[in-house]
Amino acid sequence: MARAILEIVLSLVILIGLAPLAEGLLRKLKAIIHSRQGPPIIQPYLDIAKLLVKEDLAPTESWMWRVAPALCLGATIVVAMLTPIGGPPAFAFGGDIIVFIYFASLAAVAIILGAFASGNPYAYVGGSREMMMMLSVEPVMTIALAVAAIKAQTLTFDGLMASPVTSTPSISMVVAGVAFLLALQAQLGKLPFDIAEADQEIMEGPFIERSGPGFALFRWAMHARLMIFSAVLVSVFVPLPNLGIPVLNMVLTLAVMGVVLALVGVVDVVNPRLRIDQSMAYYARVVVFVSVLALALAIVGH
Amino acid sequence: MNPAQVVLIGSAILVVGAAAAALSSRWRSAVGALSFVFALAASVLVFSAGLSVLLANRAVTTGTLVDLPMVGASLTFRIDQLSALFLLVISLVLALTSLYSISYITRYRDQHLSRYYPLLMLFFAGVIGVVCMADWLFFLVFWEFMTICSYFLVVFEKENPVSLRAGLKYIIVTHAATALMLIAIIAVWQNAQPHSFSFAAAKQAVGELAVAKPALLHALLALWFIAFSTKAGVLPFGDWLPDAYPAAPSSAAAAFAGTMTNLGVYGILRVFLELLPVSGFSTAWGIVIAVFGVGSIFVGTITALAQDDSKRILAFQMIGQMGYVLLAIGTGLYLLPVQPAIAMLAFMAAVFHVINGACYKPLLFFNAGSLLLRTGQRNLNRMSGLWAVLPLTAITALVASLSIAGMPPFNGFVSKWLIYHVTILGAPQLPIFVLFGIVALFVSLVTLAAFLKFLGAAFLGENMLPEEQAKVGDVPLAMQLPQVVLACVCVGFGLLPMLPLTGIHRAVSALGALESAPSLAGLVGSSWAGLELSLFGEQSTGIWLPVAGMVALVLASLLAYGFSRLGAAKRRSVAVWHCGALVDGERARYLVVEPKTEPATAEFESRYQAHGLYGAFKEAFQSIYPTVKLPRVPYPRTLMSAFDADNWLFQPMLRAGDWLTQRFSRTHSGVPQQYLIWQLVGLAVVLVAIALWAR
Repeated sequence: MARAILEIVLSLVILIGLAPLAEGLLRKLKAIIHSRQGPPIIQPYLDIAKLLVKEDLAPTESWMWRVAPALCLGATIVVAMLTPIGGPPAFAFGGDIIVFIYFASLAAVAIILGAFASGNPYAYVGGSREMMMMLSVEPVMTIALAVAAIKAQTLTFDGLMASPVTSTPSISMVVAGVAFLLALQAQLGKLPFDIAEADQEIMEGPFIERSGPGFALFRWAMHARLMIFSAVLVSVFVPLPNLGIPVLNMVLTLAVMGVVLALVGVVDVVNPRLRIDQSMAYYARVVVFVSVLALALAIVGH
Repeated sequence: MNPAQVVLIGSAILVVGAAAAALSSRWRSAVGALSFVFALAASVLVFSAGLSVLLANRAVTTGTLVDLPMVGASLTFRIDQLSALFLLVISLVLALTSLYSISYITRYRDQHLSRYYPLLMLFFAGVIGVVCMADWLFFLVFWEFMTICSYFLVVFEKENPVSLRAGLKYIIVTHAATALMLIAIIAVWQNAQPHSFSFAAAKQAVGELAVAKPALLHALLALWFIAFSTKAGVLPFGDWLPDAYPAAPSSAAAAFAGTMTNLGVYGILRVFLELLPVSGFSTAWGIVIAVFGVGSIFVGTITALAQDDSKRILAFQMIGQMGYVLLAIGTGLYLLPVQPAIAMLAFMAAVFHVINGACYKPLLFFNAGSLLLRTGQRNLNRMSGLWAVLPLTAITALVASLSIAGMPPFNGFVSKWLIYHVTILGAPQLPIFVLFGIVALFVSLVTLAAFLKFLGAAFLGENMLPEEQAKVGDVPLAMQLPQVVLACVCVGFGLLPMLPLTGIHRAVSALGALESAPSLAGLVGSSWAGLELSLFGEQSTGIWLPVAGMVALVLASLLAYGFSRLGAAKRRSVAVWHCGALVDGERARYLVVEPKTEPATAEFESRYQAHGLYGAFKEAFQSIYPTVKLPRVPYPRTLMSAFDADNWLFQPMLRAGDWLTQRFSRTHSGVPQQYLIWQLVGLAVVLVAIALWAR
């Protein structure tokens, strides 16, 4: 019991607590590519702290509006508990891969309902786009995870992390990993797929009416996505050697996550934003050519 | 008295109730309550009977009520565990629908209520009859009875040509399907030795046909499958559903969604699990059924996304959800000969999804009805911000929407979770099932999108109702209560899935497809805290502890909320910011109010319409549901009036009943002398009778 609680706290500290730091590093990387000085790497923490004391403006009396930020971050915290970091997730006794996928969409549901509740047309557009992005990215992620599950004959992260599938390279897992990496960019809301937030166009879309503490929670949840999905990508699809000690495995995973996020950051800097129909067509092609290929390879046993 | 007899009495109460409602239907305010009393009595009886059969885990029968030895048919109420499970659901929907109707049906001020309550109760009597039959001939009789009652409910708004056309389509399509079933039943009867319609004889006959005439059996199974999937609303046979459900009053649509569509699944289970022996037929038909299931999931759900009418969204979602059930049944049938334990799990997932559907689908129709009552609108483009006015309806709609979209921790999630497990991991021999499972997982997200649209358009945003109407508050209590009860069931089954699964396990085991059904603990684990699957031997392949997940979610959300209050930020209400553009606030509210016909705004248009959502996605799939415009055939007038049974059969009967009661009530003149004369006449009659008898 004590051990389980300790594990949960540790994974939350890493995936939620360090998430703003990851964002800060990405901003620094972006600034270096732009030849700028850039903000200090703890800037996202400072932003969140600043937002906490700012006025909380509410365009509506709706109860949904008030609940949405806490629900979004709450669901994200549960997702973090279900995320493997080099080893089985801390909350693996409570849910499996499907539960993980669904809690991740619950966080998005909170964003979208919060947006619709605001009554702002830009939020409305943003919510609609957020949903469409989910519809196009989710199949890629799901199929990639299903490939791993089929090969390991289990849908639990426990079994998956223990099975040789995640520690020895295979063709289908590589292809599935590539698909997951392609989905990551949109899942994290980075260019060229930051269509739902699109700050120059619809002014943060779903969050346009947000100010103060509610916005802080949403921001933190968005940062946490960086850590959570890159952790899943590295833990499941990158065949890292088992170092024997869970903490060392975790550190190694975090190091590779840094590389993945740097890649995401570079793609973010050098790309313009796509339109929603273009990105949907892009992910449709990813599903048809990459994901289905990975699935076929997994089924024939490669 | 055994439970089967109790159910018989329950149905009899419904029939009596129907007669009572028909006779009292002139008193608009009383007939609803009167019907509810009868419905509640019947519901309690049927529920207790179903529960006792499930608890005893043993089938019961009334003994033969009507025997037709020359055709080999007999009317017997027989309740096995599967019937009992469906009876529980039916009785719940029966009680709640009648309660909801009391207030809801007052909306139809121009309609005579004799065309609603009696038919609703007869419909339920028919539904109960269908699940209690163990004889194909009487099964068909009750089936037909139910269909006809539901037809009259579909065309309740008889002045509306849209309703009439929907009703016509409904009755033609379902009768074509019934005709197919009749052919199948007669063919099986002919092959039974001696000729008999009983399920037992049919089982034997089908078993013999499987060996002797496989081609004929395939044809018969196809007929049965088409007949039942038409009723269940599986595409392409269920094309009547998106027209008929929205045409019926919301309360009747809720009754259909909670009971009638599920009977299609009931029939499929009876035929493919009870009659059909485990053989190559199971494998082949498993694939066919799964393909139809996935087709319905995909086409039905994606079409639902493009609808702007609250009830049409629901109707298409019914089709999609039925697809999940069929996918699970198909997977189970395919696996039955090779992996009986996983097959069993698939069947349980299917039945669980049916039961969950029977909770959230009626609830959603109730929600749509509440919206209709308070705003007069079904068009989501003309609704907005009703959370402020209908908070309870809004919360129950949220629960129902998240349930049907399969979000944890609600009940829809658990059954979908089981379906994903059996499809993605269960059938590695035929990889197409993996793809089916992934399609199901993806389309579940489309369902979510459709219901976020529903919630967003109807309940969120700026309130559309003018102040004096907003003051009225939520819908009447009789409409609130059914919504709350169903929402509680959705949450309860989601958190404690073992409760329904125990009953479902008994029901599926009783079908006898598996010679030795694996124990419940062997399938989903023995802990009441949640489900643990181990499809292949010892290793756990899936786990979901709803209570733990829920506690984690609530604690984490509270933690997040507490964190957000650390800065003690001040709250302030502001106007919506349109990036500096000046927007006329009143325009967003309402334009013209027509209080005479509709309780709310007729000309209101939401500033940002539901139709605008998901444009690019809808465009990508816009031709997924092709519609064929049928030419209008000019029918001869005599034929039309012959079809108008309302006019020449039902209305005259009612008028005659009305006339009789009026005649009878005339005896109550209030003049004492007249009563004395009546007494004297009565005395004389009695005396004469005694004298005659004594002689």
